[in-house]
Amino acid sequence: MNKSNDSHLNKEQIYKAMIDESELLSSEREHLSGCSECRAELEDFEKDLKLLGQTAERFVPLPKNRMVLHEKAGKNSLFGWRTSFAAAITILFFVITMHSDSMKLLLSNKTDVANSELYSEDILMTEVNNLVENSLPAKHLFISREEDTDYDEDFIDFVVPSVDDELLSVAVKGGNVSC
Amino acid sequence: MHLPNQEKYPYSGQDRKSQTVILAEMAVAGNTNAFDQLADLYYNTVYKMVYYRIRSGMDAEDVTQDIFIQVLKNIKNLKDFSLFKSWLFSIAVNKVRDFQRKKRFTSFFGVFSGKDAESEQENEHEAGAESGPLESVIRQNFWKQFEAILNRLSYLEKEVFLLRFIDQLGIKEISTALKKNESTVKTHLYRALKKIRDDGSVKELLKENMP
Repeated sequence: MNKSNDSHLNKEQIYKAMIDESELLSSEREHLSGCSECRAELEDFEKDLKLLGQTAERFVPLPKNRMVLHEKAGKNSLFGWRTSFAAAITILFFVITMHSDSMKLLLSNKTDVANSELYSEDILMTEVNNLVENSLPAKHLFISREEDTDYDEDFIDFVVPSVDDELLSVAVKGGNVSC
Repeated sequence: MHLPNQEKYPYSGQDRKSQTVILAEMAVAGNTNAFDQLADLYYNTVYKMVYYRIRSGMDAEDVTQDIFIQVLKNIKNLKDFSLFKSWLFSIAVNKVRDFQRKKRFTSFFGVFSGKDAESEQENEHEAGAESGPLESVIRQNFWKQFEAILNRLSYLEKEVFLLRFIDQLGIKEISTALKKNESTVKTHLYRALKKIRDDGSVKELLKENMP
């Protein structure tokens, strides 16, 4: 890329010069200032881009509407402030109302349901306990006299003796089962 | 209410810069008239900058208005008023990009495409009525070729090229507007120039559209 004073600048150096001449080496800068050919190439490219800018500017249509700044900005912020304030108040009101009503309803419902469930469970458990203690109805207990009996385990063993395992196995082997 | 009028401010670059600083300071102090003058001063520059990128007059007006509304809202946050133009262009670049994203999104889902085409036709018709049918055809042809040239560049190459050679911003201003360092700007500009110069498309475009 290093150029001697008498060799022309290449395309890359011309682009560099277009962007910022100080990007060139001092020898390149020196050449550019003295060489009419390189200067013409650079100026030609610069002229093209300047013309492109001018043509683009010429072809931009004129704006049709007046710009409204303060009204729009003011209106927007005022409208935004009012709307958001009203929306916040409304939402707050609904939230408080709904929350308090639903909480009340929920709490009252909850206690009612809990109480009724406890009550029905109590009734059920009383019936179950009664059935465990006295499997027969009261009049049948009276007939069977079971209501007065208080059998202990010794009595039950006496009435229904437990089966001796050894005797039972012998009896099974012999093919006789006797009680 | 503003009526864009470029001729109203025939300032040179330095005058315009000092005028901008004074107006911006007054606008931040709450002077709405100063802000109106500042908007008038830059309206045409910004409107054209937007038009080069989206090539629809109606959309360019809307986007330009959005840009100035954002400027109005945020000018108090600008620390150095001498950087106003770069700051304005950074807002404009972002707004245009947002607009292009939205447009791509809506056209992808086919929303408003009919309405857009209709309004664009109306816009072109009005432009044609203003300048004559031949001028209208030349104009349309120019923008088609202009778009074809830019489409060969990457997003950053395109943006840097437009800012430098069409919007006439300096390297430093581009660097501030795009929040990229100067060497990155120069690299992208170099690549853009190489692509544009090598295929001779600019010369061809100018040959066809010279009066």
